Amino acid sequence: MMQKTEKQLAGWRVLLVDNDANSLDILETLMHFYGAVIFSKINGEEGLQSARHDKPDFIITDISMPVMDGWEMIKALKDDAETQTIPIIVLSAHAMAGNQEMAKNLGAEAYVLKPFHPSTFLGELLAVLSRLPQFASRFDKR
Amino acid sequence: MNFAYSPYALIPLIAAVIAALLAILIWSRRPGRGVVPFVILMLALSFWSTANSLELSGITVETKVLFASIAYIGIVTVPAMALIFVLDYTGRDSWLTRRTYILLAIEPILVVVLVSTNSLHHAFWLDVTLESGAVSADYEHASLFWVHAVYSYLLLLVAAGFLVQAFVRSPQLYRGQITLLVTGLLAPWIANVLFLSGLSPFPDFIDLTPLGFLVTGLTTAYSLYRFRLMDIAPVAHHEIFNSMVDAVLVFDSKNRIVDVNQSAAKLLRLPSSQLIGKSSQEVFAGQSDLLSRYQDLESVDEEFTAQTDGVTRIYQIRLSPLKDRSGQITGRTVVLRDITQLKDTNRELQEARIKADEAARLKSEFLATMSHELRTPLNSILGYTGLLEMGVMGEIDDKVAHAVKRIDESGNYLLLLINNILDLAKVEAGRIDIVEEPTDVREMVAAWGEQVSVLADNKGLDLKLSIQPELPQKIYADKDRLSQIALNLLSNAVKFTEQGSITLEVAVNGGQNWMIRVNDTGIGIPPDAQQYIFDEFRQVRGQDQPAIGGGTGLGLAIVRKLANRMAGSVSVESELSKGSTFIVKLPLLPVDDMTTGT
Repeated sequence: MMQKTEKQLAGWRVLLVDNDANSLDILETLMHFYGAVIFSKINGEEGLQSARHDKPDFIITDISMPVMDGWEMIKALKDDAETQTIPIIVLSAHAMAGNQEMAKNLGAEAYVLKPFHPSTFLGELLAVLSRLPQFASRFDKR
Repeated sequence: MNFAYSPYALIPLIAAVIAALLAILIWSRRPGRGVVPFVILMLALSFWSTANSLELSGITVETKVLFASIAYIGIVTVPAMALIFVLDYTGRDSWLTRRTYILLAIEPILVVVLVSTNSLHHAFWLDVTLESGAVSADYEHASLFWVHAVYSYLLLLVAAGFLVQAFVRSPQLYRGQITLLVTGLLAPWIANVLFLSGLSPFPDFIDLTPLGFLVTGLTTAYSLYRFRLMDIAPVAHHEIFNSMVDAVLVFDSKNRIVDVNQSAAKLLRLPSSQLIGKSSQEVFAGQSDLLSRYQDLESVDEEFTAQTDGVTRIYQIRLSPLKDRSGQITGRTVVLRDITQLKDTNRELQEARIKADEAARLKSEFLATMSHELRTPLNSILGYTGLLEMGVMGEIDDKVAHAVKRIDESGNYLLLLINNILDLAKVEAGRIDIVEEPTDVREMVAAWGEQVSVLADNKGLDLKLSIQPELPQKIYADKDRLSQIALNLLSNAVKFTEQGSITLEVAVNGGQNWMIRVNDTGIGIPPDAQQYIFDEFRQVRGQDQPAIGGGTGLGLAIVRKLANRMAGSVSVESELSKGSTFIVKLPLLPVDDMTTGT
């Protein structure tokens, strides 16, 4: 169990993109609890705008969404010089074998399958972020 | 009986010898169409000529009449045999019944009887006189002789008629040999007419008829060597040609039809007699350029569609050139095969395959959707319980914490169930692809051990790993699917063992296989249950008791299906209260180090 006193995501700006209200709420609650600044969006298009406007440190996104799905959003983000360096973690209920590879090919950092356990997910998330060179300094401070 | 040498007697004698030689020559051609009647024809001719020769050599009128009478045995046989030969040769062997033979035998027998008894009734010849010094007797023929003559002519006429008909019908290729045969058959006729009419260039006492037949024999013999007459009877070809299901048309160099078979006539809806002589333009209306299009091509093999009575039919067309000896194209054969049904069948098969593919795709899509739709609400359940357990939602009391723990457990069980059902459905739908890649066995087994060691430690169980040294370092294996099998068996072992140890053993099994053995010191499986534990939703349970261990009842079913998909098998040995051993046997596919460079 996480130590709640430790605000492990303090100072992080996170963009959450998911059309499932419960999923979004769980992520918001979790991220908020650990001190992150949260931008929540319900489809890829809104997510894309937020990514350009709000400059998040990382993005957690669902795949199946109306208007613009997660794949399209990731492609658009990676095509844009301004947003292409933002790490993306895919969080999806799609269990097909091809998806993990697809996420990797599009440049996402990780593909996490729903349902997720918040504490396990947080651990995975921190592990992924700590491996990224652009965040090395943030993790070194500890 | 007195004989005197007569130079005229030599002519029929030579004829007799030649006829006999021909008989022997043709006899060696058996089996062949018309060989037997032809040989008999030649022998009868030889007999006739021999008797004729002896007749001419005889001195007294009695001797001459005797041999003239004996000659009739040959004479009567010749026309009958000529007809039988032609019938056989032109493929009318179905006419050659016992009835035909009896009918054809009546006249010869009657004539021989009448001739030999002529002195009693004089119905064949009235009087025979022999002038002093003459070689031949003078016969005053009576009415029955003329009846016999007309009858013989009729038989020969019919025979010649059939040959002419065959000539008309046969492709040019066979015309030469039929021309020769017709000439051969006409020769005795002409000779006989010359003899009886007194127009013969020879002395009128020499019967030219056997000489005529000799011409028949010689032309036939020539045909035999020139055209291999008995070997390839044209009529046999004609029969094959006509009985072919494919439509065949033979065109000459000017693209006019020379020959068609019955299928072609049926296809073009005209009798073959009307088709012969027509040009390709007339025949292939709408396809008029059919031949000219291929004029310069050696051969063609393609498809085309044609409307017949408003029904579209598909034909495969094959054109082949006919060449003479100098390589000059003298015509073409066109073979049309109706492939409509074949095409239909192919299309139906294709449609069925598309349908099957579509069904498989829908099934796969359904599985994916089901998976997604079940995971989404489960995500809420496990997500919120997770947050509650973490204290993110605030402090909760023990009672609530207990309830949350139960919700979490049930949620996790539901997730396991969903995963297993979907896995099973995927294996059954053939949607699981086994991808065998070079895999480091020891590395893989170590990873299994690591994963299970947490579970085993929690229950205070000893976990032993054993890897046989003989096992190759690298084998071809589907790591993910093998791990699914091994972890299923290992977690089962932990689940059903309260104390003792779990042993994972990997070893070569015979030369062709390797095996994964998972042994535990657990509760064991009753003998009757060992029969069904690999079936779906079948778990070991007591009377009115829930399933032991809290599994989904699908784990072992998946293990078995996956093992089978890898051309392997799974078996169990168990004793109650002592423990169980599960053995998975799989084909051993070592990776050749030379090729992988490891």
